[in-house]
Amino acid sequence: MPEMLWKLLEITIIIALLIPMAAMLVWVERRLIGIWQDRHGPNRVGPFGVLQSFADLLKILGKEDWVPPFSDRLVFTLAPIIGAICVLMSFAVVPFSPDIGVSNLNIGLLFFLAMASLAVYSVVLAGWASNSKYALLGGMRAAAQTVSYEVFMGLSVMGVVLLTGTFNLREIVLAQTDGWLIQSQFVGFFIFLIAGIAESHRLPFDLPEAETELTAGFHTEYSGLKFALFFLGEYLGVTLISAMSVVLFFGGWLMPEPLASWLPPLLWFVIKIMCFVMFFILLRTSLPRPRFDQLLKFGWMVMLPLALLNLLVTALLRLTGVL
Amino acid sequence: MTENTVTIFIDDEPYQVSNTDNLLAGVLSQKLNLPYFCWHPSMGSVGACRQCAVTQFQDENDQHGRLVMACTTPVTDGMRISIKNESASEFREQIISAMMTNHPHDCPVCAEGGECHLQDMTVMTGHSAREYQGTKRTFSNQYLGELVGHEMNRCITCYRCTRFYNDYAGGKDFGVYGSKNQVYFGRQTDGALESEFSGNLVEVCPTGVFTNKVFSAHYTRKWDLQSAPSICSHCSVGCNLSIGERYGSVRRVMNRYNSEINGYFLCDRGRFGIGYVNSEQRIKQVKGIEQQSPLQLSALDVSKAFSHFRKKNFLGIGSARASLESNFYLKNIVGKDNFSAGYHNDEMQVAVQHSKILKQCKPESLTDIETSDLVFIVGEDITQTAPRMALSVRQALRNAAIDKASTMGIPSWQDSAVRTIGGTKLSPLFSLHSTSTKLDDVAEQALLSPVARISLCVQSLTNLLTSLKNSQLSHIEVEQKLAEYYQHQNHQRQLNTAEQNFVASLYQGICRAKKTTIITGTSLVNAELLADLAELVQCFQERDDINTPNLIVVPANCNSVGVLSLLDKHSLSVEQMLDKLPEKNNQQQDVYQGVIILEQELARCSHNQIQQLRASAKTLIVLDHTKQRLSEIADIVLPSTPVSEGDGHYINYQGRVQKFHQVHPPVLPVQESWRWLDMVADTLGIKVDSEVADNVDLSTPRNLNKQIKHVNKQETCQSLTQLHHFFADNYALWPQLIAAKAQQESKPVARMSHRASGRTSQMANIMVHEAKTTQKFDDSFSFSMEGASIKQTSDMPFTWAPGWNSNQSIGRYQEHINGPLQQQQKASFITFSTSLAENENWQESKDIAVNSSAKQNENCLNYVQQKNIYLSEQQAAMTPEFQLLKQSNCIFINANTALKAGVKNQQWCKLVFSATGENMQLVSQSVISQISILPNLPETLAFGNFSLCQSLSQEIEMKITLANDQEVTDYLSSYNDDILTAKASKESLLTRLKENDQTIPIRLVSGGLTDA
Amino acid sequence: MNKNSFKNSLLISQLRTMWLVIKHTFTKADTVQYPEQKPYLAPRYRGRIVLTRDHGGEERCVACNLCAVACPVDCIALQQVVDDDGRKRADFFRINFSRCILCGFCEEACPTYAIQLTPDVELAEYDRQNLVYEKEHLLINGPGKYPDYSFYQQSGIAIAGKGKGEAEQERPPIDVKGLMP
Repeated sequence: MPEMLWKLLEITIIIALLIPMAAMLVWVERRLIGIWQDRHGPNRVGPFGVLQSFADLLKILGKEDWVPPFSDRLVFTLAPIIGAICVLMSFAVVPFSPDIGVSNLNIGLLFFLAMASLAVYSVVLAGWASNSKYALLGGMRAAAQTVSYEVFMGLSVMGVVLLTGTFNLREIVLAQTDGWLIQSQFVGFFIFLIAGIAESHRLPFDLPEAETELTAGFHTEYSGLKFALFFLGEYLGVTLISAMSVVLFFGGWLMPEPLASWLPPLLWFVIKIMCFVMFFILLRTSLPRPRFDQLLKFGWMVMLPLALLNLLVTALLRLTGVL
Repeated sequence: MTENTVTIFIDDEPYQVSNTDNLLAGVLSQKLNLPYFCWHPSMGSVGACRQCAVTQFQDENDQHGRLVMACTTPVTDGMRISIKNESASEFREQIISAMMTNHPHDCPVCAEGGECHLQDMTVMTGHSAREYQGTKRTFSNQYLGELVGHEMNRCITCYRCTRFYNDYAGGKDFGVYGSKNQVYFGRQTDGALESEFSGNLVEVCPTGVFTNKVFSAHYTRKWDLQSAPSICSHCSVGCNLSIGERYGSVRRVMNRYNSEINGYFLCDRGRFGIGYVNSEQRIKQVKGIEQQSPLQLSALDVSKAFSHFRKKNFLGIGSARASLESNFYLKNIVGKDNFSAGYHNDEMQVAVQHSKILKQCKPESLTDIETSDLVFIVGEDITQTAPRMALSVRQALRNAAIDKASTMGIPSWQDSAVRTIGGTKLSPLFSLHSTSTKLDDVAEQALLSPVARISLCVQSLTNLLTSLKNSQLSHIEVEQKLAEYYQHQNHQRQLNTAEQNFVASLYQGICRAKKTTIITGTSLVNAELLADLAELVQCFQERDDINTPNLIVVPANCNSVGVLSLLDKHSLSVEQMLDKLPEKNNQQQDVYQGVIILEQELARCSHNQIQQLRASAKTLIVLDHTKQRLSEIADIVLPSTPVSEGDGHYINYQGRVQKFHQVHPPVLPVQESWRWLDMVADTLGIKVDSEVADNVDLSTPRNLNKQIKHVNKQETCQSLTQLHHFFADNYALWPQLIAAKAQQESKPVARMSHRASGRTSQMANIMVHEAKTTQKFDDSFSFSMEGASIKQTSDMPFTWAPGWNSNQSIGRYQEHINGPLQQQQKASFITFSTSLAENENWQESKDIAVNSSAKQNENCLNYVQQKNIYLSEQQAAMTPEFQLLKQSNCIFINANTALKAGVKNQQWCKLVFSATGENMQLVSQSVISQISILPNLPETLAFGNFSLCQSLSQEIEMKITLANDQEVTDYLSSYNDDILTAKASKESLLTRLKENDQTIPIRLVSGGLTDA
Repeated sequence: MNKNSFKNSLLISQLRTMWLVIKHTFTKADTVQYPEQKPYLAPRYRGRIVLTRDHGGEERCVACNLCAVACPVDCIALQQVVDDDGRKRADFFRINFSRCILCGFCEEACPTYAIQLTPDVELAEYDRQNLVYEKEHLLINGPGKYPDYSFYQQSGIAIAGKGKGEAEQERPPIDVKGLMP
């Protein structure tokens, strides 16, 4: 029973940290983009503008909880909740450090993939329930994009599973004690990263919400708290993909000596995640959005064969005992 | 049209062009751009401006070509020309840059700016930079009266003004002076322009030399005007107007092209007489209705006020200046037995004859008048009462010259050549009237005759036509026949020599003429004359050798014919109505609760009659837009709209049904009369039940149960269309053509141009949040700049085409130059029943008239008041500028009379008029007036510009004495006071309008009393 | 697979872009920290609109309506009057600055240099109604740009103190009744 309480406490703490972190991420993103565009970014609220996100949050909470009269009310309300829950659930399997982590699930990796697939329901349902052409187009795009990209996302991590022989994320981390999997699974990592960006609808793959074409895509009709949930989902998604990349390819909390002893493992884990987050932001600032047909073509024609090839080569090498 | 069509090549493209017109007209008909100044579609070519140069090629191998002026070049089959050719376009640009050397730097302060033909043509030629660095020649301006402004510096010497004013409209007081670079267009001395058509100079002048002075005083650009297609409410011709509004007040009237009526020109009454809609005298509040809310009158207030009249009977007086809808509605509310048109007994007799004539033949349009080669105007001064028709008559007179030119192979569009060949040759015009008219100077014969003898002349012409079967007789033979015929008549029924001569010449003229038009009118209120003319036309039909003339009757008001169509055998005259009003039923209760008076001032009623009306009516309900003597004494006054603020139909002298559209929504509680009547009908109910067919006699029992169904009004009519449907569903008498027309639905056309400015600022001082544009239920025009293109309608709110900002842009919308508009719908005409003539009261009119004229003592004087274009129509007369044009008293008398009284020409005299009849009350009236002596005036006739009181209409005598200085000074000072009052009211009007500009009423919905 | 798509698949261009962007981490921001720092606004900067007077102190505006028609947001409304001295002036002249986009088209359209935009950009109000400027708020006591221009000295119409033919580049009025050719 106390174990159960401890677990609950752990979950609460993780969520309580994750959500403000997502908010901070917004500020980090805006500041970074500002810097890269020779601007300052938000710098007025609090020191260096750190409180900007909280000001925004206050504003967004004060907004009218508007449900369009033409929408499907129930589904419209449900959609952002599904999105946020799916992402938060995925964090259950993330091993933050040797001691921290909600669940040490044997099929952690599969759970992550399942949750990532489920998250698309949020977008599709939002698009459908909004009863608006922009939202519907956004939802359809999200569905097509997710279906295409999660195929090779799954395939790309199979190399890792092959090499480590487990779906348990904690064990995958521990399997990298001798060397990070990025060395042998560089191609897999590359494919996973791209698929991850697409799964989390980040630029340059934010076609479901492409504001130049679809106003705001699936969340056109959303405002206030429901919009905030989508926003939260997106930034948690970025964090999640970063965390998964670190766990799968960059050794999780592990660091080679002597670096490992300088900082506690959790901090190393966070630092690694932040590097990835920054990389995502860099992508957003620098790359233009492809056309939708280009996106799908890239997925099916380039990434899928590449993922299969990677799996094949990894399997061959494994068989031949090179790895 | 098709047989005259030839193929020409313009810039190597083939076009089908009519060869009856010149090349410029042909090019413009193809909607190609070619600049011009001196050519005018209805005035033809003179080749003065050299602006329409094009290159003409011999054949397809000719590379060089030669410059020709398109306006003076006839269209020939297979001709090859180039507009784009460099030499031609360079030539045109040089011409315009030469014209611009002296053109002042004035556009920002010029009233023509934004609709300037010169601006358009300058842009069209591509002349963009001024190269001339020298000094400019200047002119001093003239004062041309209160209506037209003069700014000679802007002149480009195209000669259009003088060609219109002198050649087209027959003006005498305008001309061209000076030579070469000093040519001056104006009058010899300062002074008001005398022509009734001077306002057209504003539109004819391609630049801003002549400007609308009234518009300039409270100016706005053309692009800012909110306009709607409207109909002139000042006479029965029914010219098409475009009325423009800005910031809630009407600014000006422009011509709206209608190929069958007014073409390109209007008269000054139509153009400047709109001032009454802005008058101080407008009724703006209801009287006699208790308002629940101090802010707004509600429909509930109205129905409460009328609720105790439920089931009571009312008499109704309609009006010839109210719309057809309002009159029809009123008639149905009060019942046909209780309806009057406000006509007196004599006017009812005239109405009977008039409706008979209209039933018999359809009067022709103004365009058709212009094709006549003989015009006989009898008993009407059309220059003053239907001025636009007089302008058409003047064009008809040119046919002789045009015919002569065409025998020499000169086409009619070669204006200056035709005028040179024609010289002073005019088609014959015969004028027979009791006052001298402006057309007398172009008349072959103009006879002044007392009212009774006018009919005598017409009768003798009828006799000639029936008795003489030979149309080849010489003048003397005809006169002999006339003398023979009248030998046995008594002295009074004999023609004098002048009359004999007139009738004989007229007979001869008519025998020779190919197309005769007879124009008469109702202003003399002479039923006998109309009956005689009807008979005259009838007897033409029996003669095979003479073409039957067209008879046109000009009634007094814009909707006289519409009211005429509503009168039936039950309709009352004013006298009958006054008799009927005090009637009591068996229980000794009043039968009639009161009178509903619709836009009617009963101008011909004497003071006593008005008193009688007030005394015998328990409730007097007046609907009108402007204060008048009846609205002052009324119990309930409901403010209605003038032509610019409401929708409705007017019917012109031909019976042509024309719709006028709301230009801007009125300020509440002002609304259209038919809306008020609709609310009244909600409470009072409708007396006239539904009829299925108008020829069914409802009194016969057989039809009674079958044909009548009780009219149940369901709800308030939101729009004119709904009202029409309501009428059409319930009344067979309602002209179905209007209901059918209203059903055509399309996207509304914008009342404003797409450049209209100030939308987000004009009301910002009242409220920074912009009000929505006014919505109107079921409207074919929108109160904004958004809407369908004006191309889609023939009722264009304004004319504009890309590159053509002036009214010349109308050419872009005509099928061909001077042709009908592209979207022109077939005009619809109302039909007349004989029901009115069935009433016995008005039947015997002819005998009465004959008797009365026989009775008339030869020594009795016949005084006739001259009509005046500015002041004879009640509505236009309220315009301050027109009041300024009031002339001092003047009377024309015979030389003998003057000699007897010992007075000389131009002397101030005191005239005492008194009744001579035995049974008349002893009434006398003295007038101070200037004397003019006319030698050819019959002794029993005098005419002047002042009115005598109603009881002095017949059998009067006049004593003339020289007025002493004191009397003259008194009169002149009172006259000057009138002028000063008019001046003051003009100024106060302007001040008030300027204040109103900043307090624009916000109307979200136009129609109904609630604004939501 | 042609050369271009091969190159594309290597993502060279994308990587180069990212490198260029990341280099900007070390460049200085161009932002001016308004309101602590005031930016330099050129004299022809398009800020608050004024109505100027000519060197004689008379209003330059002749209420020709060209600014109003040029205005893309239709935020200028005015009414022309002719005063006793023959000059045309605006009876009222209203700019709704809550709509104005400071595009300067009015200034370009103005034929008399009356309407001018100034470098004053601080136009914020708490109440929108206060952004409605009437003529008395717009009219300034100087000529602004183009100090020497006076429309009536160029124009052909007569005003009090300047008759016909007395404007620049004009000859005296022609005596129409004179006999000279």
